[in-house]
Amino acid sequence: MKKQNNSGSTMVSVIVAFVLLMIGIMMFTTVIYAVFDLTAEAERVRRKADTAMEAYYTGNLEEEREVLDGIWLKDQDSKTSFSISGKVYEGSYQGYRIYFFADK
Amino acid sequence: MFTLKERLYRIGKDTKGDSMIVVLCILVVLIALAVTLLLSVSTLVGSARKNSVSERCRTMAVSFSDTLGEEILGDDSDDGIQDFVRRHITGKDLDITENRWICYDPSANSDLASATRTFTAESNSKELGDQLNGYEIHTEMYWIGDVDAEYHTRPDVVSDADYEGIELVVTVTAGKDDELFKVKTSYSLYVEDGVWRWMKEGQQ
Repeated sequence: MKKQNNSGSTMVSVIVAFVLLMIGIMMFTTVIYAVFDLTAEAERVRRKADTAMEAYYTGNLEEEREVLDGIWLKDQDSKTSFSISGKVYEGSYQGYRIYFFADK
Repeated sequence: MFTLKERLYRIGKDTKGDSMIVVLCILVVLIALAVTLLLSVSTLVGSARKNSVSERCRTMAVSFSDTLGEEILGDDSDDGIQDFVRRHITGKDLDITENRWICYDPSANSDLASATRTFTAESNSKELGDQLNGYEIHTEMYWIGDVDAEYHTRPDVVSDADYEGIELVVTVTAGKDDELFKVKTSYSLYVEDGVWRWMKEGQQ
C-alpha cells in the first residue's frame, strides 16, 4: 500500500489562515476608519447646530428671508380661525437652516 | 485499544488545523468589536441629528410662543386672538357653528381634555408642516376659572369685568416626526376700563 504524502499540508493551512487573518484585519481597519468618519460627522452636525443657534440668538444669521405671511390658527373644535400678525422666516448659518416666527 | 492517557497524548500531538482555529477566534473577536463600534457610533450620529432637529423645534416653539404672547399682551384686533378668546369664553357674539368654551377648574377636578382647545397653524389654507419641510406647530389653550362662578353657570347675566382673575394657559408644540418641543405660558386677566387685558404669569 502506497503511503499518503502529507508534507506541506501544514504550510498550506498556515498560509490560508494567515490570508484569512489579513482579510479580517483589513475589514476591521476599514470599520475603524468608518467609525472615525462617523464620529467626526456627529461632531460636525452638533457643532453646526450649536453655532447656528448662537448666530440666531445673537442676530448674526448669514441669511434671513420671509417664507410665510398671513398665519391663521384654526380651532379644531369650532373650525373657526383667528389670525396672528407674525410671519415665518427662514434663517441659515453655514448651511444650517432654521425656521422662526417674528413680527417684523 | 488505546488507554485514555494515550488517546489524550495523540490528540495533543496532532496540531493540524490549530492555526485556523486561532485565526477564526481572532476573527470572531474582531467582528464583534467592529459591530459594537459601528452600533455605538451610529447611535452617536443619530443622536446628533436628533438634537439638530430638536434645536429647530425649540426655536420654532419659543419664537411662536413669543409671537402669540405679543398678540395676547398687545392691543386687541377684530380677528385676533384676544377677540377669539373673549368671544369664546364669554359666549357672546359667537357664530352659529361655535360653541362656548368651558373652563377648567383644578379644584373641582374638571376634565382638562374637554376644556382644552387645539389649534393648527395654517397659511394659504395649508398646514404649516406641508410648507416648512414637515415642521409642525400646534397650539393648545384652556382657561382656568371657577366652575361654580356666575360667569360659568350664568354667563348671560354677567359682564365682561366679572371674568377678572381667570387664567389662560397656552401650550405651543413644535415638532417634526418624533421630536417635540413644548412651551407653556400662562396669562391672567385683569379688566381695565371695561377692556380685557392679559398679564403674563409664567412660562415653562
